[in-house]
Amino acid sequence: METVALSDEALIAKARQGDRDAFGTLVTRYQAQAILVAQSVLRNLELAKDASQNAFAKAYFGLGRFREEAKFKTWLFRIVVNEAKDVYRKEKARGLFQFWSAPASTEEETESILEVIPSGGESPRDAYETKEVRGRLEGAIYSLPERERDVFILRYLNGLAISEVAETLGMAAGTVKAHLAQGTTKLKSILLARNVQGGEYHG
Amino acid sequence: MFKEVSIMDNESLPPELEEMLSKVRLKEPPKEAMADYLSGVNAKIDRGPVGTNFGFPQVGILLLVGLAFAFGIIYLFGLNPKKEPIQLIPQVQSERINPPAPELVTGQTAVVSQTPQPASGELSLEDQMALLETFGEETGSTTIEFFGNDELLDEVALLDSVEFSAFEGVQTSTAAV
Repeated sequence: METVALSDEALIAKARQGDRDAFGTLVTRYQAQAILVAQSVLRNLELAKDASQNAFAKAYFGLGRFREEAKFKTWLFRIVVNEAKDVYRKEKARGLFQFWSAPASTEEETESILEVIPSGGESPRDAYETKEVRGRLEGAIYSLPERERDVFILRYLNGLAISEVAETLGMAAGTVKAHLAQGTTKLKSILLARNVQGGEYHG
Repeated sequence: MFKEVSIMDNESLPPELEEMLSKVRLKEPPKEAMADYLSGVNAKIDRGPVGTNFGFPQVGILLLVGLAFAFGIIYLFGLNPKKEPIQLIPQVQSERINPPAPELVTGQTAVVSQTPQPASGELSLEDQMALLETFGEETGSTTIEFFGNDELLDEVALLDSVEFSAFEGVQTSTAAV
């Protein structure tokens, strides 16, 4: 039977019975989003790929603990976020041990997580300015406190609903909204302070 | 694949920020990076669940604990200035060179000399006192039993004198030899 057309719940039921193909379908369904969630924490594709694969493996072994009333997607993203943060802490600790290495290495390992959405009929000047804006926006997002940054990225860049963000990060919906409001205010002030011009942000 | 950014629920976003966000999105991973993704997940599943999370912090803590333990051992056995040297061999040698000489002054000391006597330097003052008290009590109790029985006391005194004279005879014959 073709597993692609099945719902998450049906696939989970099959995977619980040891059907690896059913779990493989779940992996294929969410792998890209899982990588993006991990990448928003780690800012490195290779590390994000490895962390998200670890998260899928952990999810497979933890299927018995998965509650039916929860959404698989948010349950999985929660594992991905935790795994990515774990990898981030390890990499940070490893960086402390490698104090003799070149100081530029951390900059090289950090990759941009944003890309400009291509639009037809854009002049080279517009394209350049949009790239500039992207860089400044990303810099501003990563200067936010951790909680506010996580909430902001999951909500506005991963496109999760507030309830999904709350489930993923294990906090109440009201707390998510409060973090979002604080994060947005801080982001606005950071961007104003950096004086983003060019018709993108005038405050 | 992904939802475009749309402002849902009741939260509000400044229009300028919303405009900025509408021009960017999360960078999608390249397709070649995704080609072996599922096989990587399956390989991790085949490897089995990872029980312990042993990373750099754990290694660091273990290293520190090990260093502290090693330093403690070195301090105890190598650098401790208050340590007292263990003199097991000299004591054994002194016991061999100077075996305890039997003192036969009375019948009571003869009983004492039959038991293995430790070297005088080995016993503390308290131990010596306890030893004396023990023998004093034993002698006292036997003597008390004989009180009121003059005939028995006389017999004991006679036996003591016979034993003493016999020992003296042995000593004189040994000296003559």
